[in-house]
Amino acid sequence: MLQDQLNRDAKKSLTHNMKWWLIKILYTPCYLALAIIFLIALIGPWFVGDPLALSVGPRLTAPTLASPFGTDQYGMDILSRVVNGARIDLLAGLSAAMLAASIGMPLGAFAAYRGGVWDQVMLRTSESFQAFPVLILAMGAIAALGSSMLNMIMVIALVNVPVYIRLTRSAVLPLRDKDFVLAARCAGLTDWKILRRHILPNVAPVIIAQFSVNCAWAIQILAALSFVGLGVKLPTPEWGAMVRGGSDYILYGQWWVSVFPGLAILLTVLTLNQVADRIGQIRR
Amino acid sequence: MRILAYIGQRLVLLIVALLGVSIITFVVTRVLPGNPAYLIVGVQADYSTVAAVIEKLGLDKPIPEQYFLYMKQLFAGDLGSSWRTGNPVTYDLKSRWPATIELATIAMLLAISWAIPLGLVSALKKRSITDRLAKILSGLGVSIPEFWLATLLILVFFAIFHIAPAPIGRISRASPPDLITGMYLIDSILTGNMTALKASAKQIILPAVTLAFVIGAPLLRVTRAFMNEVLESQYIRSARAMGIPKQSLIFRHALPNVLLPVTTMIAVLYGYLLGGTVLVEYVFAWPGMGKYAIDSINSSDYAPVMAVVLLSALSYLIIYLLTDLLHFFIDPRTR
Amino acid sequence: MSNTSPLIQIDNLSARIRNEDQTLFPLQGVSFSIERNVRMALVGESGSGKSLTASAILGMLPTGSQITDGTIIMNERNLALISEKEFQKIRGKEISIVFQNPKASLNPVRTVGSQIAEVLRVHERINQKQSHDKAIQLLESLGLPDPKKRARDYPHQYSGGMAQRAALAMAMACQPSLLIADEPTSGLDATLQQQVLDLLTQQVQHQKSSLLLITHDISVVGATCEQVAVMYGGRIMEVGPTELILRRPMNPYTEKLIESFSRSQDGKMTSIPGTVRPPTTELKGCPFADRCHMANKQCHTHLPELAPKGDRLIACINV
Repeated sequence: MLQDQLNRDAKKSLTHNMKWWLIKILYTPCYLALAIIFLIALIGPWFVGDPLALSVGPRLTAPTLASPFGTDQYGMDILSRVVNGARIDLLAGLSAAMLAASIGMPLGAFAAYRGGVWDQVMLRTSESFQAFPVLILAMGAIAALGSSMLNMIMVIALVNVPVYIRLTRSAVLPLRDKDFVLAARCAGLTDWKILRRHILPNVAPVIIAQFSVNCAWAIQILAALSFVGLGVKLPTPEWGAMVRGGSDYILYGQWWVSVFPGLAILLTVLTLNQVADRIGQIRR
Repeated sequence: MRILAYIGQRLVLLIVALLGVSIITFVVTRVLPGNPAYLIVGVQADYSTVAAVIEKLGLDKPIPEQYFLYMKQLFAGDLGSSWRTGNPVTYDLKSRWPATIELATIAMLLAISWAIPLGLVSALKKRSITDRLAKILSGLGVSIPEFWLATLLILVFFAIFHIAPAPIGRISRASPPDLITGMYLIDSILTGNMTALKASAKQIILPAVTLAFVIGAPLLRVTRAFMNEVLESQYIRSARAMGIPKQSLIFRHALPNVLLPVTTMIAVLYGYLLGGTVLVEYVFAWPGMGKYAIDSINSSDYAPVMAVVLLSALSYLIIYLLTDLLHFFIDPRTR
Repeated sequence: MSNTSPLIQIDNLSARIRNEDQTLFPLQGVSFSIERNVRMALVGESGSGKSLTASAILGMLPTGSQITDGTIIMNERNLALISEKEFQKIRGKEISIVFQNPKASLNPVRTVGSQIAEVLRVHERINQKQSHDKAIQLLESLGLPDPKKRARDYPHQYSGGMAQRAALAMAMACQPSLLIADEPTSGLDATLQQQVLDLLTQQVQHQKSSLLLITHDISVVGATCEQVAVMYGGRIMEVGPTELILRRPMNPYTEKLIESFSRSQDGKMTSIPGTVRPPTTELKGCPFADRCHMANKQCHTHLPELAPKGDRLIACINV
């Protein structure tokens, strides 16, 4: 019952009601989960040991009370590494999604708003990107540019840009000829001001939902790149690299090295996707 | 006649898209680091030998000319050679493409067989246990990293229960069947080689299941969402009000309408799979296009990467074209 | 069965809708009957329960809702109790319906002819060929030009008026004894409204069926229907011959409803003060009491029953 009420009030609370926000987060599992994940990334590292400390205990030990997630082949504590990994993966995911949004959104909005040739060029370009095997392309680019974190964020952002162009375009297109936009144009507002003041607020929920999805996608791509050995290298505590590090031991039944970091990816991505679904529902 | 115009228009778009794809990939792959000439002649070779190889490969020419040469070769059916394997790329692809097609097709069939029925049932029985299960599975399928799922399956079925064979490619403990199509399952049936059939079927199960789960999730979502929409539509309500029995309502009235978006989704997913399922092929050492691409990227081998990208873009676009054609026949509104 | 008994008799029909966060009581003791070969209108504002009454007659209440009390008697069966399977044989055969948007009522991926033919095959023992021939005949009898070709067309190739005819052909295919028309004219301009109503009247008269016209617009009732039932808050407020009720409404609600439509033609819009009561609780008094200028204390505590008054039935304790 509360859920529905909350959803109905979402528009109001978005802008001014902080109390509603708090209750909302506490009553919606996926928001709560997201808050917890961010909290872990933010302050978690202070509570666990050094993720790079070698041979704290014996190597490749199964989970015990002392190290609940066990240790890896170098004797590094996996719990500490998974917690520290949250920082790396979330930060990379957020920045890649942000970068993609800041390039793709203006382009998509511009294409839809202006229409004509620009629209067609933008549409066809982003459509032909759909035919690409995105992962292979990202891998090739990383191999070419070098696997620094900055390069990876840029490449991941770049493969996400067409998604934003298409999405923003399709969200803005039906608004273009709405009365309030025409009225604003008659009032002599510049295109940029109309886009920012009248159109952007209307497409915001779609964009925020997409941002969450893209964040999840960016984390998946980063982890995948690291998994095949092109991205982040061990001993940096990145989740995908950690799964790769443990994959040899899986064959011998030493599961904990790969399972915990993989679970961290799954939970983070799942949460981000659920949040996107939720925001999408509010819109309706 | 309208169909011809339609196909023509689609073909033109396809060629334009392919040209764009080839230009972009050419630029990307040409900035790959590492001088390939050294890979051929060895690092110890003297300068003149290297220069000769560079000239032979056309690497000294300006980039636009190199691209032009490449396209010329392409139209002659020559995709260049791999410096890593020492074979023409077309030769390498002859064994790798069927491997990918085989895996992609089995995975797609598996995905269709679980995701579509579950999507339909969950739409028909809202808030039932099946509906909840469908929601959980589709949520998981979209979010689970496929390389991790693959690793988990190996852990459970190979390392713990010893049911599945080791993840070492397309066949183990048997020799491959005589090749006809290059797809082991089909070839062993064609040649009546039951040992090879069994051995290769065992190898394909885990990678196919991994992909089927991951690919099934979006398929399930689309099926469920559109079935919901169609079931709430007025034409279904109207047909029901005319006394049409439930079975006919579902199969003759609702299903044809759901088929349109679902076939589009299947096409998108199949096109994606045919591009080489990099991660799953990597984990299971499946010698398909995805693994070929990764191995080539790791050794700065331009030609195979370019070929894989082009081939997967081509298959994606062709499948898309075929779906459009299919829609032309099943959706009267496009005619 | 004698021809004097009504075609369908609804008595004290109550329904409940339960969804996640609340329970609604949209029908709270609806009673009226439709005679044979009579055109009757069911009039009320949106939210009065008129469409839900139609759904109940067809056994097609939305999910989450159920009939809690009352009977719907037709041909000595209680439709409130029979199974979905039995209802399938009644729908389209004995009771049929046309909806507001005829184009949306036709399946977009099947030909119009095949959709009509399927209805015929479901209810009558005829084969594929015969059913298609009959579908063409039906389209022709409804005045569709070139019916043979049109039967093979898809709904998107039809104009709005043609779709209307096709939907009506489908609804009348098995000569039902009751045709329900759910807001068939809303959203149409005045000329088209009249055409649709004429078509309905003509078909119903031709096949000797009864018509239940569901509408919020009491002004379209006069020329079409012989009987009218006015509904509000899940109850029937007044039933009787159209001429009588339109000319001399006795229930204060009917009066206000007619007033709001007749004045709107002078350009002056009047509406009934207050808003439609949301059916969140079971009624204790008259549903209109909150908005009624004549309401007294008793109106809030006393549920008025339908009682005969001259040629009509009326539910109001003040008249």
